[in-house]
Amino acid sequence: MNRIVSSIWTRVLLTALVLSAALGWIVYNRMMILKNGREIVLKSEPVDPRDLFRGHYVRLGYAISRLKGDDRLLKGLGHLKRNQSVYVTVKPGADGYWVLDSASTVMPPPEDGKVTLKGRVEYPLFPHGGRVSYGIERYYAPREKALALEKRTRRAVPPRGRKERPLGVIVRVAPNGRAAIAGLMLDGRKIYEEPLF
Amino acid sequence: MFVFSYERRLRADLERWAGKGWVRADAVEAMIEDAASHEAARQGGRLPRILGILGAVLLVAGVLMFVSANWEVISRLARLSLLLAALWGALLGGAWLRKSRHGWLAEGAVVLAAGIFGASIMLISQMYHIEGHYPDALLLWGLGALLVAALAESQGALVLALGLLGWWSVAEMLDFHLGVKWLFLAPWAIGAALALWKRWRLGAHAVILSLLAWLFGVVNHYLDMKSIGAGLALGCMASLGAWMYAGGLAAAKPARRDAHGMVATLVSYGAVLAGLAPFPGQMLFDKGVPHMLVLYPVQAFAVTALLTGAAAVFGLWKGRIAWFDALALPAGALAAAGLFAGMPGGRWIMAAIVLGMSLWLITAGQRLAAKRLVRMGLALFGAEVLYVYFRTLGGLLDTSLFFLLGGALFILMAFAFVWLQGRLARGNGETAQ
Repeated sequence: MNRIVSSIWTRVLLTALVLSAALGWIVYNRMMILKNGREIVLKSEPVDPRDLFRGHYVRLGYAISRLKGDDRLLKGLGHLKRNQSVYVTVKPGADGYWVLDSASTVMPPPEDGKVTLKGRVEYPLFPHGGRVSYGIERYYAPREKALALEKRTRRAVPPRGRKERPLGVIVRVAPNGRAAIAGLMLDGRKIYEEPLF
Repeated sequence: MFVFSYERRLRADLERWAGKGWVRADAVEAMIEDAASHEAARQGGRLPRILGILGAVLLVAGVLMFVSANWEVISRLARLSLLLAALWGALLGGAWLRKSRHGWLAEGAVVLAAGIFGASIMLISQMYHIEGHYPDALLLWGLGALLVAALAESQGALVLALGLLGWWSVAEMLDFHLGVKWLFLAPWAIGAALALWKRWRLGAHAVILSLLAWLFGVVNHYLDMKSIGAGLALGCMASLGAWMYAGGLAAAKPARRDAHGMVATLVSYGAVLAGLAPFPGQMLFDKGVPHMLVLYPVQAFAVTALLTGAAAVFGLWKGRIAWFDALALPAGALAAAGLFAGMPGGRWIMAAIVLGMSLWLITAGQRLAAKRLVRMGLALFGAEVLYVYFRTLGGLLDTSLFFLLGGALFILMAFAFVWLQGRLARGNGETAQ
């Protein structure tokens, strides 16, 4: 009897350890990106207002979310398929926000001053390019903060005569291209920094 | 069996036996009282079970809301510690409760632990703003729940795990069109082995239902791809159903023609699976799948007809089933096979076959006093009639009218169900007199 009882304890402890390790692994992965990743700043673009605020998160869109238009850069991609991986390289732009440099379906060799993000094709666009997500399209925040941020991203395209005040999203990128949101910027100032823990 | 009141039925039986002098008349009241008190204890025993599970659900919701509502107040480290403490507390608490022989409280605690694991995945995603591929989270949660089910021996966790894994495979196949998820079969087999080994009834239902969900995803995927796999998957469905039907008959006790327990489960799921197989087959016509593919379902239904035919002969020989039940399934499968060969009006003849099979299920359920068969027959009937409505009137009628018709149909079905139940109850009463 004692042996059976103790074996229940062992099995339950083993279960708790494996489940905790699985959760810890998710946290560790994120921490490593935030700690060691290359930092870039992307300009958040207004997205479909109906989709902006759903629950307690803000939907963030970027220029590199929609790979279209620049035929010279995107021709090499060929016809993309849904859920296909794409590697998008960015470089610092004139205003401090990072901009598209090139896109490829394979991981390009690292280059000085450039950073490559791994994305997933949500749906392909004609004739080439596609809508791509990088796992940094949601910013979770309490209701009030989320609403304030939502207004800010919507105002990214200002009324005539007003100065543009875009919301900057600080992103850290691991060598394998996985990206994580590290903080938010407004008018070149860091307004929020994500803690590691 | 349709037993509305065990006590009422027992009283009728005992009074009849007392009238024939088999039972002492003065013992009748005492026997009924004893049975009633046992029944009350049995029903009372269920209450803590239900409360335990409901409590676990409420606690998971509470933890989730607490942590998500207070996230700016509580530091990340504190939030993570809280989640892990809740996970460990529920698991170790479950082990302690089992040790102190509080079986159903222990089950509640372990299911709670599996729930907290899922809540933790979601909350960590929130904390680190991870917008991932959502089926990945379902897969991780499902595997975690399966581990809990296997190591902490929890039926509730197994049901949760199979539900999540089924949802994951369907989401990957239908929502993201990521091809057939064969990987589903590995954890499913572990779950099935666990349910068989532990003789978990509810777990066995979850095993069958999750496999059906997966098969539904597979058939749909292949139909979308217009691939040869659609026929193969349909064939698998049909022959799996036939095997279950045949296996159920083989396991039935001779001379007892009422289906009950695991046998009833097997026979009725088998009958429905074989009955459902022609159903997506109709969609082959709609989706314009190349004619060649029709060959596979034809072969599959022919095999099904052979299998069910053999089972029927066996059942008749051993006196386990009535001749009209023995005839119905093989005849249906054979006709489906023949019609699949691509007659111009095949779709409508197929619809007639499915309707006929559903009616047979209802009457068979009525004769065998197996309410599961009646319910499945009604469900199949309703689904087929809706399908026919959709195909014939969908183009002409407004969507709202379609739903009105569907609603009226379901109400009619409900009336039919109540009427059938009444008839069965009266039938039981008459035989008792």
